[in-house]
Amino acid sequence: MQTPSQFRKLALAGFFAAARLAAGQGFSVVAHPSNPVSNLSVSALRAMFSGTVTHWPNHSKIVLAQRSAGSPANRFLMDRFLNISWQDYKRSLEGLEFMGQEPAIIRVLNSDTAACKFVFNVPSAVALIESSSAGAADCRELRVLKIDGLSPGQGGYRLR
Amino acid sequence: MVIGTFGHLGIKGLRGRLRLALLAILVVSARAQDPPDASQLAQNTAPADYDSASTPTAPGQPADPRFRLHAYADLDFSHNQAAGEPNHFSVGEIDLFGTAAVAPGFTALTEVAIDTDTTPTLTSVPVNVERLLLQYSLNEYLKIEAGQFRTAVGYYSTAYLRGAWFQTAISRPRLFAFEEDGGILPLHTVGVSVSGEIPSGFLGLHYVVETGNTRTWGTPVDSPTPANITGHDAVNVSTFARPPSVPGLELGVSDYHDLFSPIVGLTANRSGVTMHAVYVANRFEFLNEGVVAHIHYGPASATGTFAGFYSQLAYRIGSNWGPYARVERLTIHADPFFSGISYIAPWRSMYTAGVRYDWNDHVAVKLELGHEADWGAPHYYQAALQVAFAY
Repeated sequence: MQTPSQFRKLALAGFFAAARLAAGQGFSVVAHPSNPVSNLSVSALRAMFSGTVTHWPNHSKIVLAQRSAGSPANRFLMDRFLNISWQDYKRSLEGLEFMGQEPAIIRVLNSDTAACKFVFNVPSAVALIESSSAGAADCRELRVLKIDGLSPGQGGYRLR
Repeated sequence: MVIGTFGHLGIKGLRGRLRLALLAILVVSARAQDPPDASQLAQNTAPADYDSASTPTAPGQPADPRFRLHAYADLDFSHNQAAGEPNHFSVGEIDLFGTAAVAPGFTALTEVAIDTDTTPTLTSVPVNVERLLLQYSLNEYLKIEAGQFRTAVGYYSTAYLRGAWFQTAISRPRLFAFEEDGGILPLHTVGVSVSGEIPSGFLGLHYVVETGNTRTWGTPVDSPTPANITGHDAVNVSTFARPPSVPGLELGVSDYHDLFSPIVGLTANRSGVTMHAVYVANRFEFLNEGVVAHIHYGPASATGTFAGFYSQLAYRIGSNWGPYARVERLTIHADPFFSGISYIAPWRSMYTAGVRYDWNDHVAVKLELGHEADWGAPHYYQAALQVAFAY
């Protein structure tokens, strides 16, 4: 029988282990299995999430399934990948529409599995999730896109 | 076919009917909760928590036109906005912006600005149709727009149209002041615009070719000598590069030509070349633009030249704060025939600094201090406070 303090230590250790694992594996871009795209360049991915590119090569409309503010995936997207504050991001997206460009379609999901479910239901959707979630039941059916030809976990993979 | 009445059906028949009715209600109800198609999803550019487990979603193509309406407005308090002007509150402008995908590839765009900041009484609030466009987008290489639009003269005018909420600062660079506010550049026209990408690999080149009507230049709407619209002779060609390898960088040049009549009976050639180098990424907003504009009147061999630039630097601190600073200069060289053009653009330098605080996704508060030096007049300081919001 574990004492409360032992339990807390174990829980903390587990939390930090999971955090290390997630940080080590980085983030994955998942798309519907029917999506013909299997590889994206970093610049193409940045253009998609910046709202400047709104269609897949097959001309279907890109639907961005984003994680809610404060989630690790959203923080990575804003702070490290796009390096933009949430307010500026929203202003930028609205500014593109104001300039006459087609608006980006965004749905914000409250968990990685919810994002996966969404992508599974919307073939033209794409989501950025933690790589540690890619093996979850709801995400397993999706295609994990390569970034610059590299899969999550490979050396030189950029989304980590 | 006669279905009959309940009396002929008996209890079993009635149950069967009830089941059918229940089934029909369920189908209708399920239909009412059908997942949104892509055009419905586009309504949600403002992120909100969402649980796909409770809200089914499905793919779909934008099938029906949906009018998307945005509104932008600002409230201001100004100190010494122009030399000697009393302190005052004002409602800046209300900008109503709407788009609708009317058919595959076609989009209708409407922007109406209700401009109140120069209006002494509410009985004469000007309503400007800022943009009214039918856009056709064939692909990323060809987009055609017809109607009233913003000319692609320079960067600021295309990136920050109306709507104070969009721009970081309270004030626009004077070089890109609107025509009705005495701006020296033709920022609006009615005509046709063709734009798109140029396959150019790492350069990321884009082009814009526009033709339309001449618009007033440097003449406020209440001027005693209003400028004429001389015809559909305005041509603007613009090209800019957005290298994919340097996100946020844009380098561009535009060349505008037309004929216009600053006073009745005088038709002059005018042209304007702009160049810009802009970097908006990684929390920086670094805008740099230069303008050289000429006006030439052949019969008198007279020439006037405006040459100016502005440079604006802003940086986002944390998620809310954005200090910024801007410097602007303008020089005018004119033959005696055009000696009056210095009245069109009386300023020669502007130094502006301020801070923007984004209260939330929709409301920004800005505080700005400025120093303006005009031709033949004492320089002065100004200050302004603005609440800009989008809804």
